[in-house]
Amino acid sequence: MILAKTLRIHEFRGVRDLTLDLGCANFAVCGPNGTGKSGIVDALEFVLTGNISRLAGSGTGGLSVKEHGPHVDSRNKPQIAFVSLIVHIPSLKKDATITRTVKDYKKPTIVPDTPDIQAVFAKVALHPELTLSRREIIKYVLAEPGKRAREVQELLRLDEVERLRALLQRIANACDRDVTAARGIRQEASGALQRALNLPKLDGASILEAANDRRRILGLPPFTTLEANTSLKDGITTAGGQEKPTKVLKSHAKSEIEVAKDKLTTLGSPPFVSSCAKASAAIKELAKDEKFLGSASRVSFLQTALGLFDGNACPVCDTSFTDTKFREHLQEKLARFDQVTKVRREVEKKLAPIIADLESTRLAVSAISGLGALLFPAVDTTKLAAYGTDIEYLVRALRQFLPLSLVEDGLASAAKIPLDATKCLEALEARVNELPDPNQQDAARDFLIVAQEKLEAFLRIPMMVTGSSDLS
Amino acid sequence: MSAPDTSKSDAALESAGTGSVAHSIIGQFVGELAKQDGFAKIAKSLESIIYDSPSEASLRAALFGDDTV
Repeated sequence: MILAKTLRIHEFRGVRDLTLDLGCANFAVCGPNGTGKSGIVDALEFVLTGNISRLAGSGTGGLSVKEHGPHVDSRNKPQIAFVSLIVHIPSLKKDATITRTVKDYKKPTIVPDTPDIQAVFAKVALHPELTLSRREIIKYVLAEPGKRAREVQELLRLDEVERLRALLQRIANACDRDVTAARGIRQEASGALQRALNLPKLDGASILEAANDRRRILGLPPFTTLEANTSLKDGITTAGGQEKPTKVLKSHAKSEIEVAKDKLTTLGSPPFVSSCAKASAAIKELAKDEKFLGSASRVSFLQTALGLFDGNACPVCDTSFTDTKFREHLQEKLARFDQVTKVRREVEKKLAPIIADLESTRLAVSAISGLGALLFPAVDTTKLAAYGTDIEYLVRALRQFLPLSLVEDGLASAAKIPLDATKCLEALEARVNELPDPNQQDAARDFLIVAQEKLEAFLRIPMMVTGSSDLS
Repeated sequence: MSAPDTSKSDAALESAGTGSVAHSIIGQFVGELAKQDGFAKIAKSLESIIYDSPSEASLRAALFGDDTV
């Protein structure tokens, strides 16, 4: 803490030359309008911080300390405009003087210039909140009780904290979305690995046991541990002739087709149809505010406008406003943004399970649509692949949320499975069923090749999902 | 009853950023983060940029590493 003893103001703001004996006590300045009361506050702030927030703050249209600090008659002589303050520093039991000229406002002169006194002034200079303008105080006094906290934040110049909080929140929201997506991919990959290995539970010991059973059939040495770089099919090239290129493994293809059929059944089921109908109704309700939703970026614009408001006119269009009316006008808009955003979050919660079902169906469909070309004779799975692409676009529209018309259209078609895609799936299933059953050695070899492929896909999933690749 | 020892946290606050109220609050946040298990390294990399009006990209880099940006 410092106590102001004597303040001298020379050719600064509206003051030609003034010395005030403040006596380390509280004081008040009173006088008619335009006699320089605010100039004394400006002088105190200037000498301690090098800044005049009323000039350099928001809504001042680029006024500067250097140009507008000196008295109007000394505008071109910033070197003669100065403020000097003698203070008492109770913690050091010392007096000190700080003097700052407008010309060299970044370099104050401190007497005595000792490190302990320098440190005190340096600390004070970092607290712009030490001076409050009349407008700021009135704004706080007039603030509704519920909004006082925000006003205090403004008074204490905490906008930097709020900006940081908003950025961290945005990153956290994005991470939540990424983790949800990664969990979905993880679930699909672990399901594919589980089906390929035909295991009821996925863990390192079970994978090793399943792989070693097949390796034994091929006369290959068993693995004792499962490492990140373990290749389940290691040694196959020398054990049973050349390693075969990837082909359709009957049992695995059948299980993938079953999964796809299950997913398609889910999309046609009454609960899914009902979820789509409920989400669609919520979207229709929200459509009334779509224009508002689309301009979410205006929130920060309105907040900036609030900060730039000079108490007289709109900072954007110069329309005259009283302080209260302007703030009420913008606060009303911001409150509406808040309300619409809350409703949007609710609708997004309704959409989340629909998106998850569609996404898992897309993955299942894309897993089998590549099988057709590997069969002999080949099965045309173009329609199935096209359906997978349609689901992908649909999911993208639901995730993007705007325009709402695309979400509505998407929800209306989400449960409709194209007939040609279903026929394509039936043809694929029939052809896979016709495949001859492999002998024991071929089956063991195919098992290890497919298992390795699925294990690698599983291990490629980012570690950001807790335990995603943990098979211990 | 004796007053709690705040000498350590006071020292940390004084060294946080420029020392303004906003930076003191941000400094407390970083300090608390550093005390959480497994977050000391992140707190340290945040500390190097957090007082300098960081962008979203630089915050992400400090939180997750450069390769995620």
